[in-house]
Amino acid sequence: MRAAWILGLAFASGAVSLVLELSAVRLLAPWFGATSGVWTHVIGVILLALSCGYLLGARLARGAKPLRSLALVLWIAAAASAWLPGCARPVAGWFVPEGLALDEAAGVLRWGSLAAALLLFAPPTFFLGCVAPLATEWLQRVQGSSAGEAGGRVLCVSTLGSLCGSFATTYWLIPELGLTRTYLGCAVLLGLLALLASRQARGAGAELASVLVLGAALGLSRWQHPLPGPGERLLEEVETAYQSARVVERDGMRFLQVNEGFDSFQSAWQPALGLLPDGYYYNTFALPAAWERERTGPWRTLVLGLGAGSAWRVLEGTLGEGRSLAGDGVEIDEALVELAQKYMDLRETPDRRVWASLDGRSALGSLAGGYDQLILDAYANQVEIPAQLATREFFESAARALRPGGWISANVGGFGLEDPVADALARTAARALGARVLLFCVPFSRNLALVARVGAEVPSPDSPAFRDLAHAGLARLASQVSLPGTWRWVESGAAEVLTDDRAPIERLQERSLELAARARERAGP
Amino acid sequence: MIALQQSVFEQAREEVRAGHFAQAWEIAGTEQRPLQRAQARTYVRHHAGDLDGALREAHAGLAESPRDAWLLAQATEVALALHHGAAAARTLADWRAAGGSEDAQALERAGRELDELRAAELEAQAGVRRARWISGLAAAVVLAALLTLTRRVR
Repeated sequence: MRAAWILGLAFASGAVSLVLELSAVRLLAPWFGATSGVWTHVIGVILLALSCGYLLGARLARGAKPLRSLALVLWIAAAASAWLPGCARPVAGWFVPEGLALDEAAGVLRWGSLAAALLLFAPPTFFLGCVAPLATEWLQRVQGSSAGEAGGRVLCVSTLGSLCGSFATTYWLIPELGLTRTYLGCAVLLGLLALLASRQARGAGAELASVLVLGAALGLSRWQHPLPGPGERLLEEVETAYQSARVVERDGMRFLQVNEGFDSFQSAWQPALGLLPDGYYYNTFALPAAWERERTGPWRTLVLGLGAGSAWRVLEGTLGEGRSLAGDGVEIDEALVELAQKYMDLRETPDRRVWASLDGRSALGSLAGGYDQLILDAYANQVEIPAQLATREFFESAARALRPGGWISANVGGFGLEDPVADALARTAARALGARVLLFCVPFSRNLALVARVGAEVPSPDSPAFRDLAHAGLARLASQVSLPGTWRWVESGAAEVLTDDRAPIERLQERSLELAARARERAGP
Repeated sequence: MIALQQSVFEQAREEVRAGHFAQAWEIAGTEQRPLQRAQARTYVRHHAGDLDGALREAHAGLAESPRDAWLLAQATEVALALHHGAAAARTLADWRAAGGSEDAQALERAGRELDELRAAELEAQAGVRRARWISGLAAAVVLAALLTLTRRVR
């Protein structure tokens, strides 16, 4: 019985460690994104803090009263966890100024996420690291067991706790409770364990002060998203299973933003169907149907990364008489679909189905196929490109899902036609399709549009077929992007392309941001 | 001659207004004089949403006519839109020197925007510096802690 409570304590602290680790990226994502780099920084910081904590715990375990030390480190870990929600915005804001543009963010993304992870997550995990050696020491003393036996039992339950913490974080804590209550719940749990250890230690003098500090943290700490931009009105914000999401309204338009820290958005909505104002890349998704105007009847689309359905709304408003919009929309985050249905008129019809909680790559294999157009709009935040949606194998699957002559349209964030990420994606698509791919700059935007076709040619921007379109707005758009220097053909060439085996997206993105920063410095008369 | 100069720019502008950017670009290219051609091309690219291209055209024109107030204004505004603070600062200074009183309001607005952009750039640089210091400090603390805690106690 005396062993049971200390093992329970090790179990709970192991669980909290994993909750902190898995939720850390969620806490930082609104400022730094959720790229592999951010994950690496968070995991690295937590592992480093834990290893230092193990050493401190080992040193404290030599003392006469390991239980008192255990109580103390648990109090500190509880307080440090409770302050996390409240400290996130000031700490992140210390490194990332409000309204920073993506091309100015290269250094901030790399160093800021590391420093923020250090300031926020090193303290609680450092003190949680002390728990295992102290618990082992106490167990060994009271039971008279060997160090190996006591250590093995503590490690076993602590790791089982971590296992439970990892599943609970993803499937229950964050979606159901949100970040603030998750962290405060961790703090309460650690506080209760500290209280228990204090009672067992009989006479921990700092108990009252610790309760006060923890109480203050619990009462005052609350996580806040980055503030909406100037002139934006917040309609709703939610924590989804994947990300922080919100809908804001500005100048009569609504925007769905996910983890947005750099003047970007996931979907845009205006009351009327059809083309959005200049600068919105969704308009380019309507070009293939206009180029293939002789094809009447339903225009079947597969949208990977449906978001709030902006691509559909633009297409629906530009197809013209005798044509209708049909197909499937795939969105991995069900909560985004719910927000879109509530605020952005996303509707399912018998011809147009929405598949939520489905990854784009797996959807390709399970949906019917024979589409006229595949729209790829899943490269979130412009710095988060899911590797499984960027490889030669993916584009080969995409080609199989299209009818002969079908189109692939993708939105890629980038800085000019020579952007390393856009170039790699276009070459990869060209290799997979065995045809050249058109890459063009979206007017008044830093986005690039990639257009490819299965077994047929995309019209050349310098040809009348590209510009002479029935829809006036699309004709204007096509004319804008037909200027020399704003488009280029991309062939696969002999260079390496992105594959499921090797897709160094992060390195390409870093290079892209560095080149953009260098170009900015060089620009001048 | 002056009527012809205006005519090319005006024709290009008419085509832009009609949404015919490709035609506008072709017309702009027919202008023989470098400064006027640069002006027309800058105008077309700017209105077609090719801001990088517009900035390049404006800078090419300024290489020939460094004190042309219209090109300086365009180069400054486009550089600001692209968040190219250094480029905007250079052309704004020249624009101030070359601009007439009719540009006073535009100059003031551009100056304000440049100040805001510069402030944001400095803040971003300061953020990176802070983050580097924190990371370096943390590395030093960890090293010291490891050295201290791994020392044998007698």
